[in-house]
Amino acid sequence: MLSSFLTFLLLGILISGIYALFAIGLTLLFGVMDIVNVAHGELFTIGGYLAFLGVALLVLHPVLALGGVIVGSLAIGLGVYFLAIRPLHNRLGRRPKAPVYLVLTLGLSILLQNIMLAIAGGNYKIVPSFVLGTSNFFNLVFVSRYRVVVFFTAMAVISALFLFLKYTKTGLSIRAVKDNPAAAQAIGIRVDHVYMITFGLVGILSGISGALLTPIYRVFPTVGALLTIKAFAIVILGGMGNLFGALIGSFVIGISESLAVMFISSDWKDLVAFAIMILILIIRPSGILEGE
Amino acid sequence: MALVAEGIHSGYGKIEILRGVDFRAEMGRITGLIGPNGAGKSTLLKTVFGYLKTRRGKVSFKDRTITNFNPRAVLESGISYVAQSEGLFPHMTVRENLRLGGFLIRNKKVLEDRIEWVLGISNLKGRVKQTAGSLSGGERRILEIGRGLMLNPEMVLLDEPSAALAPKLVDFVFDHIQQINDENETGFLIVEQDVNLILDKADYVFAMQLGSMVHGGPPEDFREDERLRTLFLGRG
Repeated sequence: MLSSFLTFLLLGILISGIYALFAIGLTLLFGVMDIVNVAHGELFTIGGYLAFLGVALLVLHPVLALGGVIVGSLAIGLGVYFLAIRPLHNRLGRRPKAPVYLVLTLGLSILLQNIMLAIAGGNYKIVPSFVLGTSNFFNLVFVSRYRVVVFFTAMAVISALFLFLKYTKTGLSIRAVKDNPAAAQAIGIRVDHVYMITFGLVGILSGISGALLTPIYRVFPTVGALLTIKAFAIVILGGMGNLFGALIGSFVIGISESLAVMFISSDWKDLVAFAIMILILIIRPSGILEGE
Repeated sequence: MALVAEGIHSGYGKIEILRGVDFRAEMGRITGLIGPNGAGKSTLLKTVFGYLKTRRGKVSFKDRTITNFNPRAVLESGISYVAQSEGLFPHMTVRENLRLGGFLIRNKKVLEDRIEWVLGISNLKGRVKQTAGSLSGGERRILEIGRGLMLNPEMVLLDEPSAALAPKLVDFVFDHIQQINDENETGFLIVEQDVNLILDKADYVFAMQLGSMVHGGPPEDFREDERLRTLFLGRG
């Protein structure tokens, strides 16, 4: 019993890493630009397809393939900004209200899903795992070694992001725009540059999370959709716009899902996760940490 | 040398707020800008700073045209802007706010020296690690002005520095403005609702009404001229 509990707990912790990588991008975009990005899951899916291209088709070394995913995801993120977001800003002469972004990204989501369907087809694509075997913890817990590698990779990327935001001038400008865009402009920050960089970062974060998760869940055009809903739950739970809140929210959701599988059934894992989210929001409507 | 506006037309969307505004704010002096609500005072500052487009007319600073420069370019030309409210980064510390005020400074030592200078003149040294959102109203205002001084501007556009402040704090803020003007010869163009206050502090005052400049002159003009006194001080 202890062994099962610890295994499910660890599995929950391990999947939380990917959830965090994915959800932090969503909350970053909301925090900086007030964008509720319905197409966030499609950026994840594109990352998965890029990983499939690199690992399965081009047979690249996994690290090289990941580099390709980063470059490709960055391009997609910047593409979304220059082709959809910036023309909208230019047309209106200002940033639009949140519902406009919602409708825009909803359309983008459908467009991207259909493009992926047209190019890759509807069949699942399998990306082979490059790390095989099982990790053994004290002869009590046995989990896939790949999941452990994925967790630490995700944590490394998240740590790099936090350090970037905290200690670099660009990171400071992102935080400034997130806190007060008008004041940021008044001190000489090019706010449109910050928006562009943010989209690039969001693309990379989503792409990497997609690439890391595809050996576990496979890739198909709508794989990102359920994950997007889960990411919204994490973001709301953690406090909208709060990056550290998204990190904590990811662990709450990831661990509660995994324990739900152990104690109830895998059919109920999503229901339990969302139920916990609703419960916490009833007790603390602003989320675990205050939204920003 | 001065900040000069000639025939400025500007507004929001289809609405024209400024209808041919002229003014001249000399460097090293405190210039006041008064007028009733809706006169276009804040709109004028935003237009000069580049937040709003100048539809017609010209803005120049030190004999150099800066019409329709974006805010970053206006900053680089020597003019900074302190908004009426919500001008700080509330989740960041006092030091981080000042560091951001020096965003365009590339040399780290120069940046740190400027931060220390501003902390010194603003009496905020004891609050460097406190978040801006947790400061008192007067301290926030001082921090906003201090951040506006980080690039050592020659002219500061200041929008209603006394807004929502208790009288004692207003004196505190204006004493600091006076001190900076005296010691550093920084010019200020101040939009102010408290007409008596700005008449006490300014070297020269402009008055606006319905998007046009009605009068520009020394503060005595507004006290001694019956028409101006009635219009802007509300006395016969």
